[in-house]
Amino acid sequence: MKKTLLFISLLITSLILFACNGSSTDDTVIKFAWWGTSDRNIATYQAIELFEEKYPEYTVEGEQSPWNGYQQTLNNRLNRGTEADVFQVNYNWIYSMYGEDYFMDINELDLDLSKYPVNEHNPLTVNGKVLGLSISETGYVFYLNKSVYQAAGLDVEDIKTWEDLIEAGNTISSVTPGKYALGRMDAQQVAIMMFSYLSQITGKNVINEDNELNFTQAELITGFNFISDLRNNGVLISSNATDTHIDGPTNPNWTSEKYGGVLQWNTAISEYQNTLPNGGTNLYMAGMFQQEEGEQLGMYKKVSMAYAVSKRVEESDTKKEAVKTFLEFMTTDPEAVRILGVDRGVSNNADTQAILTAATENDFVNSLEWKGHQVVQTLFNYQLSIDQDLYIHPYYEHNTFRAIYESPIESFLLNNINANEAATRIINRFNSELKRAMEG
Amino acid sequence: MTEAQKRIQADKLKKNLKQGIKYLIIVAAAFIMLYPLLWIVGASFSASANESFWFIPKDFTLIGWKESLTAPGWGSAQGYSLLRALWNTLQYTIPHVLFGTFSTLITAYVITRMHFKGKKLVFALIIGTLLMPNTVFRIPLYAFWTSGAISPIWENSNVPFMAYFPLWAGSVFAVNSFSVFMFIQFFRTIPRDLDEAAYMDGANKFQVLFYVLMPVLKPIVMTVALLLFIAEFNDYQGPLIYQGATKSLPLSLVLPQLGLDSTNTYAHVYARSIVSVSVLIIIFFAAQRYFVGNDADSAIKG
Amino acid sequence: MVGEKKWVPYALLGPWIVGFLLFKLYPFISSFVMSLFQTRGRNSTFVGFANFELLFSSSSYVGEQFMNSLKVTFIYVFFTVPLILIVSLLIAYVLAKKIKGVGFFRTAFYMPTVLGANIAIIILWRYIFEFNGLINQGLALIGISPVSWLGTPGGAMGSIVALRVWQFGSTMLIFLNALKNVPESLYEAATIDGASKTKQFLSITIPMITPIILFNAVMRLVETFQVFTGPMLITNGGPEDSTRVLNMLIYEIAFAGGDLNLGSAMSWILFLIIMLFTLLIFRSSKYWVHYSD
Repeated sequence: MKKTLLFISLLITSLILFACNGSSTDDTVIKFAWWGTSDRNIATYQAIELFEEKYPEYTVEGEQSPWNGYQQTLNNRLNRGTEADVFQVNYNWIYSMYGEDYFMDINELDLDLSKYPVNEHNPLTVNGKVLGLSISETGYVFYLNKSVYQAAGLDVEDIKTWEDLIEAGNTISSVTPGKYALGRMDAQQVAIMMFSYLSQITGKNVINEDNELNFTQAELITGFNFISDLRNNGVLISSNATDTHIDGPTNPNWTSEKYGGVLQWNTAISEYQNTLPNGGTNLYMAGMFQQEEGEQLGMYKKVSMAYAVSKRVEESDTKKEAVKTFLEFMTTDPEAVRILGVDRGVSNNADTQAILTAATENDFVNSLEWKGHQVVQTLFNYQLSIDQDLYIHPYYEHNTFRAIYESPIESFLLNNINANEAATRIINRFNSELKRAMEG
Repeated sequence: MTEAQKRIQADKLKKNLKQGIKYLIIVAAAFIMLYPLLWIVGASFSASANESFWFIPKDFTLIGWKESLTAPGWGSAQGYSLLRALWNTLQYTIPHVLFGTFSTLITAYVITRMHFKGKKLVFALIIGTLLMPNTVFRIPLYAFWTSGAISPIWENSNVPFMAYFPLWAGSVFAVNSFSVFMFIQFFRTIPRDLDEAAYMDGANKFQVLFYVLMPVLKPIVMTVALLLFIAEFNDYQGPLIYQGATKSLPLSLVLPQLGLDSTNTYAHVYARSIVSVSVLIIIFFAAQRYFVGNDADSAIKG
Repeated sequence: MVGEKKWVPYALLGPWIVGFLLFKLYPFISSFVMSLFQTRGRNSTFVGFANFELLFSSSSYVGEQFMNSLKVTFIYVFFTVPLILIVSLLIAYVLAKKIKGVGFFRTAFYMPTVLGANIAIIILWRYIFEFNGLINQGLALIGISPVSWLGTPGGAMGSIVALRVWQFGSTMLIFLNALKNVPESLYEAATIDGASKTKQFLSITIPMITPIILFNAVMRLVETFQVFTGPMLITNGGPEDSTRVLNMLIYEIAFAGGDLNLGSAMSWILFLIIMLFTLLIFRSSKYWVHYSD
């Protein structure tokens, strides 16, 4: 037993001695964190390997993570100072959670931002500092499954307005019972659909410049009634309690093609594509349904995600050079761009787009992401021309604030409260909680 | 047959019937308890895993098992091994078990077999902390471990076991009051005569503990070790709070991330789950000889 | 004992003392102190009981969430603890009567405890309670239409209660051992007097094991108030926050959200509640617990 004791005490001593020499902080090692599913992860690792080949003086430690829990982990690690050097962020996190305290001003990296549209990085700029490199812009776009519509004798290209959609819903549910024109939408998707619908009618963004709810109770009730219409006419399922699959792409109703469509960021549509039979070649980009045919309204957009750089990178010139090289590689190197494709959306950087367009063997321009991207840009620019700015407010997706409007919607979708009650709940808390969230 | 004989026969029948019903209930209960486990085994071989109640797989497939140890897009384009996550888990479980068992054993030994001032106070404190919820300790300890002065000791460390130091540091200092309590109760059931006899022969305290008492203590030591192992292996909130880089994630954190997606079917998920609990099962059955059905349970009597 | 140095016990107790001071006393006090401050960036300011006021105010969203979590946790505890005690006692009682294969049954009932707390099984639990999962498939076999377990507050709570009660094995083992220590002579005497099995159970068995019932009740109570993993992974707070238990909310606010002060305040309230109930049970014990020594 004495021997064991001796061994244990030696172990402890040596561990403590070693511990002080534990971690190395090598400035040519870039830690890069992102979220994604298998496809994006594999592609990113391939790009990383290519980077290390081209720039052997640098090493990249890649850390993938699923979307679920990414934000919490990032928050946790930012508070402890152990975040990666470069990490993917959602646009609104730059405001709502971390601000200037944790992110570096990428202007200090001397990246060439001139190839981006002039206003692209405004939403990422706080007090004159650009806190993230925009990867792409995105908006919520409808994608329809052609085979579901064809089975009911419909052509997806005819569905242009909400009326068309409701009619389709009726047809589909009577000709092919058990199928839906869209299917199941969660509270987040219903929220944006409802707000898009209301914006088309009222011309207003959901949050105004005074950071208050722009819709009245009556308008919200109209919105909820619209959702009810969709549920009563075979467009949406009648209650979210009957389908508790929270993950859209793997929902068996989606993969067995009972659900005819999805409303999703154009940057995230590949997950839905991959789980369909035939590799999702049946998916059709339907844009945003309108009140009247030919209109181009109701499109919200935002920077989808950005590469943020940790503030600790400021301290070392070697590190800054390494990160600059890496970011330029990921966004403008022809081979890297081809590998990464449009899985993180379509970049607005003119050079990047040129590379993607020229990669005819990948046919990026016909991808669902690209088509969605074009629709988002077209509609949004048209809206700007008639003085409607539907850019998504930086705190719209703030994770405690969003519960203020998503919770009542979820209760509504579960048939636990009616339109009036849901609208009231939203109105009661929206302004006060938004204010509280913005004050941090 | 006489009246008495008839009555005896009737009674016997009733007794057998009652026994039979009792048996039936127990068997049914055991079946309900174990069926989910049985089902997951079957489901891991089934391509249509979540579509049937019966555990016999309808569409037999080995793909879940073939790809159970790796996950594509993890750590590299090819993915890395689930065994790595298992090793990560063991890096904090093993020290926790070793140090925890040892330190609580010594503490209980001192309290029950030695005389010193303040023994009553120490015992009271142990009982007191037994009932204290962990939640109230967690936040300050987190602030402590992640503070600027302390975190370099373990954060991002490449030394084995050290990267998870906050998760097992406490075990060195006998913080697990339940284990101390179990040992104390058990020591109380061992008559002092054994100790006395050894002292007469000139043994010192350590020798008494490790040579004389150990054979008697073996069951309870294995019990405590097993319980510590199970608790730490299954811990989720601890690793979650002190989460590091992806390659250092233990099983508890990796498994929820390998959910259904375009490359992971239900069969994959279940196969991976079985791989992870297989360690628990092995350890449990290995230690079971000491654990279930021995007098260790008497140590826990109030 | 001959030749014993006075300092030996204290030296050997050293680790425990360090453990108590560093890992119990310090956090205990620090937790309370932290709850009296609020932090913005690097500055902490003393705010007295403001954090507690915020938690109990009905006009703030946090206050609303806190109240909801309290309610949800109470519901969980008040269903789970009695169920565990009753089920484990009944099964232990049956097993104590020398049935064939008692060793097998003991292992069978204990396996869920060993495996059930593992993340893999908890994730499995979510798939079991899904709309097309095992439970609904089983119900379909006996002609009951599928229940939306995870889609309704009651069903979601039911699924996490079921998960914990499924793991009654360890409690059952403790009861089993206690039952074995009830002297056979008591039962024999009662049988001679003509008492039925049920009466014997109620008048002999239960009173004799009340100390163990007390022990199990308190231990389970302390544990279930702090439930975390089930709600996190199975229901993620449940439909409309119906399973957002206190420990989950504390995690979201303190560890994910970074507000350690508010989290400390919440932890302290949880601690006080647990202490209160523990004390209540102990106080009541003098009316129903019968110590044979």
